[in-house]
Parts: sequence; C-alpha cells; structure tokens
Amino acid sequence: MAMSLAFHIIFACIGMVMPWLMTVAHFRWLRTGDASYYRLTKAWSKGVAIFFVTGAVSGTVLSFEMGLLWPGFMEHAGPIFGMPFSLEGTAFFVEAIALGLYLYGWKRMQRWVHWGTGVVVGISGVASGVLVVAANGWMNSPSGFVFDEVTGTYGQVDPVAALFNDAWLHQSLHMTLAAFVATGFAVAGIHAWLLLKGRNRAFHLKAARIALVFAAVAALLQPLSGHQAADRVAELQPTKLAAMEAHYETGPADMIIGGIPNDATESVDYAIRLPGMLSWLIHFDTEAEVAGLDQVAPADRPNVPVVHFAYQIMIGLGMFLAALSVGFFVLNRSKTPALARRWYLKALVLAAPMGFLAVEAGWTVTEVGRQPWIIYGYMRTADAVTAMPGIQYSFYAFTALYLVLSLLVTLLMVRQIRMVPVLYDPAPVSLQPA
Amino acid sequence: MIYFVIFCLFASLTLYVLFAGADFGAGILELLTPRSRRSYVASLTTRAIGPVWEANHVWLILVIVILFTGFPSLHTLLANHLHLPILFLLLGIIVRGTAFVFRHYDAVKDGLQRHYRNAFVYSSMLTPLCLGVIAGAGIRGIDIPENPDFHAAYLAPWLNGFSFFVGLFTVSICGYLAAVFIMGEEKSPAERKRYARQATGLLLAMVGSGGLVFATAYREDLAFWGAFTGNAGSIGMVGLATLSVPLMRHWLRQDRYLLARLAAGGQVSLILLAVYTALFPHFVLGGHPASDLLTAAAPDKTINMLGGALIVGLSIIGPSIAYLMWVFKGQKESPDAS
Repeated sequence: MAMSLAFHIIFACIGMVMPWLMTVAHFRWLRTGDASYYRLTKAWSKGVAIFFVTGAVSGTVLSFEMGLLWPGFMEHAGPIFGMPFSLEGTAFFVEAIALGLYLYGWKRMQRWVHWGTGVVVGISGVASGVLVVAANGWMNSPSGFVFDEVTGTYGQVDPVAALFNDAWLHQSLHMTLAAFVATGFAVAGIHAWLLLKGRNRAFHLKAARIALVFAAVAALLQPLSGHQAADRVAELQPTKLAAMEAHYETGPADMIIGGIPNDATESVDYAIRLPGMLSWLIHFDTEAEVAGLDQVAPADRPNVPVVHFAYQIMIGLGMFLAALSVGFFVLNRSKTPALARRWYLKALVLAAPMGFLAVEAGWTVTEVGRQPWIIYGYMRTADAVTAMPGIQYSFYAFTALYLVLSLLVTLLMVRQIRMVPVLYDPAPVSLQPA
Repeated sequence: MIYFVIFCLFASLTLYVLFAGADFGAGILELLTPRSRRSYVASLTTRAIGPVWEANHVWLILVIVILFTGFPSLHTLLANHLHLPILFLLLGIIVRGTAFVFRHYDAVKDGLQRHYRNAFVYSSMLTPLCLGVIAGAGIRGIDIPENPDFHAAYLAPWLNGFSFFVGLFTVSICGYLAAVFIMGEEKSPAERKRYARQATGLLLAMVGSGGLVFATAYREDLAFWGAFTGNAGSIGMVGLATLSVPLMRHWLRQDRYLLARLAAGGQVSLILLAVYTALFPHFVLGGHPASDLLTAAAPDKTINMLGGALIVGLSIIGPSIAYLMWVFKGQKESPDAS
C-alpha cells in the first residue's frame, strides 16, 4: 500500500501539473503563432497522456487496494470519508473526458474551445488532488462522527464535516504547491539538461522558462504554507510535531537541525540547536511550552528517527529549491538572465529529482508521523489490516508491478526525450494556428 | 434516496460492462484477427477507442466508490473473500491501459511494439475474464463456513466452474459488443463483413457459455437457479434480449449502425438487468447479512450525501460524455490522433 501510494503520488503530481504547463504553452502558441510553442504543446501533451494513464491506473488500483488490504479500516471509514472520494470520482471523470477531447480533438473543435478542454484537465486534476488529500486529512484529524467507546462503533456520521476536517485545508494547500514545485523543477531540469547539451535552444528555453515560473512561484509560497501546516499540526497532532522536531521533553523547545534521535536516551545526538526557536515559530515566544513525545506512552509514538530525518530532508530540499527560485527572479533582472548561465542550468539539472524527493519525504512525515494510528486517536493500523494469510504476497505483487511500471514510464520518457530533436526541431513545414 | 443510490450502482456497473466491455472487446477482436490483418485492426482500434477509453473505465471507479461509501460491509465482504480475482483484475487493468497508451505514444517505433501489442491483447482477454469470475462468484453466492481455512475463505468462493463460465460469458459479451460497435467505424465492406462474422461467432459463444452457466446452476442446484427461473421479470427480459438480435442484424444489413449499436447495447443491458432483478435486494447471494443492499446500507446521512454527490456528479458527467461522443463519433472529419 505504502509502495503503491509512493508511486501514485509521483504520477499524480505530474498528471496534476503537466496540463497547466501544456495549456500555457498552448496559450502562447495561439496568441503568438510561434510554432515552437505548438511543438512544445504537442511534446508535453504526450507526457500528459502517458502520466495520466499511469496516474489513472495506479489510482484505480488504489481505490481497490484500500479495501483489499485494509478492510477493517474501510468498513468503518468508508461511510464517513467517502464524500471526498465520490466527488473525486466526478473530478476524475471530468478530467478523463476533457483529456480525451484535448488529446484527440486537434482540428475538431474551435481552437479556443479546444484550449479550454486543456484548462479543464488542469482544474479537475487539481480538484482531484485536493479531494484525495482531504480524505488523508481526515485520517490525521478525524471528524464527522461520534465514536462509541463501549461498542466500538462509529455513529452520527456527518460526511460533510468529515470532508472539511481540520487538516484538509493546510494539507491540500501544501500538497498542491508541492506538486507544482516538484513537477516544475523536474521539467525545467530536463530541459536545462538539453540546453546544456546545446540542443534546439529556442524550444528548450521556452519550455524551461514556463516550467520554472510555475515551480519558482510555488517554491517561494511553500515555506509559508509549510509554516502554517506545522502550526496546525502542533495543535492537532502534537505527537507528530514532536516526532518531526525530535522534541522529547515537554517544555520550551529548541529548533533541532540534523542530529540522530536516540529513543533510548530520549535525546538527539550531534544536532545543531537553535535555542527556543521552535517555541518561537509556533507561539512567537521562545519560552512557550511545546508538547513533547513524553506526552504519550512509547507504544503510541511513531518511529521518531524516520519522521525526523524525513522532515529534515524535506525542509533542506525545499530551502534549496526556494533559493534557486529566488535566484531565478533576481538573475532575470540582471543583464544575463538565469537560463543563460551555465552554472544555473547545471543547478537546475541537479534540482530535477529534488522536488519529488521532498514530496516523498513530506509524505513519509505525515504518514509515519501518524503511526501507530490509521485513524488518528481511534483506530490502530494493526487492527485495520486484512486477516487474509499470505497477504504479503499481495504486497509483493503490487510492489513489483509498480516498480516495473515506473521503469517502463522512465524508459518511455527517455525515449520520448531522445526523439525530441527529430520530432520537434524546426521542420520545413510552417505551422500556423488552425 | 437509497433506491436512487442502488440504481446508480447498477447503472454504473451496466455502463462499465457496455463501454469498458466494448473496449476490452476491441482487444479481444485484435487477438482473434489473423496476423496479416493485425496492424490494420490495431490502427482502427486506436482510432475507435483512443479518445473515449479512459472515460469508459471510470465507471468502475464509480462502482467501487458507491460500494465502499454506501455499502461498507458488503464492500468488505467482497474485498476479503474475492481478494485474489480482484487482484488479477487490477493487474489486467494496469497492464492493458499502459500497454495501450505506450503503444500509441512511444516515440520510437521498434521491437517493443510487439510486446505492447501482446500485453494489450492478452490483458484485454484476461481482464473481463476476471471481472466475470468475480461476478460469477457473487451470483453463485459467497457463503463462508465458520472458522474457514484458506481454501474455504479465499479460493472456494470464486475458483469453481460456475464462476469460470460466467467469466467466459463476460468475455464473449465484450467481444460481441466491440464487433457490433466497431462496424460503424469501418469504411470497407470486406472488413465490415469480417467483423460481422466475428460478431456472429461471439454471439454463438455467448449463447454457449450462457448455456453452460445455467446448466451448472441447475446441476449444482445453486440458489441462483431458483431465483432466476422463479422470477418472471428476469425470464421476460432475457426473452426481450433474444428478440433484439434479429433487430440488430436487420439494422446492420441496412447500414444503420447507431440503431444496431443500440440494439446490441440494449441486449446486453437486458441480460444484466435480468440478473440484477433475480438477485435484488441482494447484490451477491449466499445469505451473508452484508449481501443485502437494503440492510447493508450505510447510515441515512451518508446515503443522502452520496445520492446528492451522485446527482451533482452525473449532471456534470452526463453532458460532458455527450459532448465527447458528439465530437468523436458524431462528426465526420477524420481524426488527428497525435
């Protein structure tokens, strides 16, 4: 399950963001009639098609897997948090229809209507993402029901309250921005690499610029959203925050950078400490009390080192990408724009996988940080797993499948990119907006 | 509202069988086509299902979402005891979807194309087989003894002759639908004749496997036999379905493809409806309390919300699909699939 999600999150992010890049390129083409934008739109639309299908099949599989692997969870949670999924179904349906129209609709529709279907793909993709993350938010911050301690049943179900749970907003915002950062930098990185190799400059320069504008704006907004998310987590899931910061003892909290959390001694070895900074970030007061891991029994704590490391990795990568973004805007005001500098292009190539690493790290924080709970405070993960013996083979089968799928998609992308000069370098035929 | 939700459940399932079925069928037809004609058939397949196949498959997601939101205990029952065939179904869906798209979008056309094709056509066959086996298991009845061993709990419900025959029946339905549907896309009379022959062959396969399903139900004295034969509505609907066959053939001969497609679609829908009617209010047989749609339903508030979400969703999806179909199936220009 975790493996499926880890793959799906990447496919889904790309599937969510690529349509936006594609429609911008398409818009520029319709506006300027510059044929390289047309070729760029076509090239990106193939990427969209490939990632949409992998995102779609991995999403279909997930909708079943939840029931296959966590029947105990779904039996209780289904009626409560089914709302975002039923709406997500609609959004996804619209996305599939719009994408069919977009990909196969060249010359079949009025050209702005055709462009509009691309925009619909983008909007419904983001809507799907927000809704699915809202469902995850519910697992972190369950609401919309009353739990009966005696019978162990979930009564007075209110699906609307469950949808608008306390975690939905900050989680969706953070995830959507993350998708734009990760995909934008990955796309920009690929085009930067081709620029470094001296390929068709006009084409790749335009491509990298569109991708970078999205990525850079999102990367600069991300720390703000991250700060808000941390504030909310401090309030809703103090244990998770404590694990993220490796904050063992309740009281004024230092900010800990790096270090190895040691569960035995309940301290962090080899860390840099910024005294009182965590308290200040959350309460604007360096002396304020922050709940530590000691608030709950060791059995109710997540794996602190994993959560802490993942959190630090996410922040570190995010900071690097934000710095690149600042560089992009600052350098563009100078005589030599960012994309004309070789070192900047090299940095972009380096940054290409970072966004996705940060996404995976962030996802690890939120999922591992919630353990041992599957529904925070109500149901333990161990109680939700299927009773079927041999279930590990199912896990293995899915994992192997996703590995193969990722390899195939990567291979396909490499082949796609290798063909770019053949397919998209200026052709003798002149292309005008139809 | 509960009846509306149940209606949506059955309707989505039917639409899935009709549209995704025809989609699977296109792959099955390709498998049944002699080697020399394959690349031609493959390009027609891409043209016919390329724009619509994604949308066709979303109906399945609707089915599963309605099940786990509206009927959680039923969903759990199926997910538990039919874990393995569902797993195979999912593998089939993944392989088929990706192979289809990769075949079309891979920028380099080389030896890999053959593998994409094989993956596509065989999974087009195996996926509906699994779907049918799952349906067969439900119709046969999921009856788990107390303290079951692995075999009784996870294999016996679906690993039996009856379910397998329902699987074959489903495969024939898919191929049959595809053959009738695709004829309207085909310009050359010779090719059309070939599809007509395939349609006839698959129709015979449907009758044959359907006969095996009922023979097994009778021989093993399954609850389904009594439920079906004791239900005048079900028998009437199967009768109507049979009557639509000559009608379909008549329209095909007159080159009125839309009507012929409607007749074939109507025929399959009637068969499904006959089965639903025989089972209702149960979704699956077997006497498990979760198998009754009315008693297994989620709390009212959830059902009302789900119904509302379905109304909103369908009112957006309906016109969008109509537009999609109109753009690709209603207009006359040749598509530019790139």
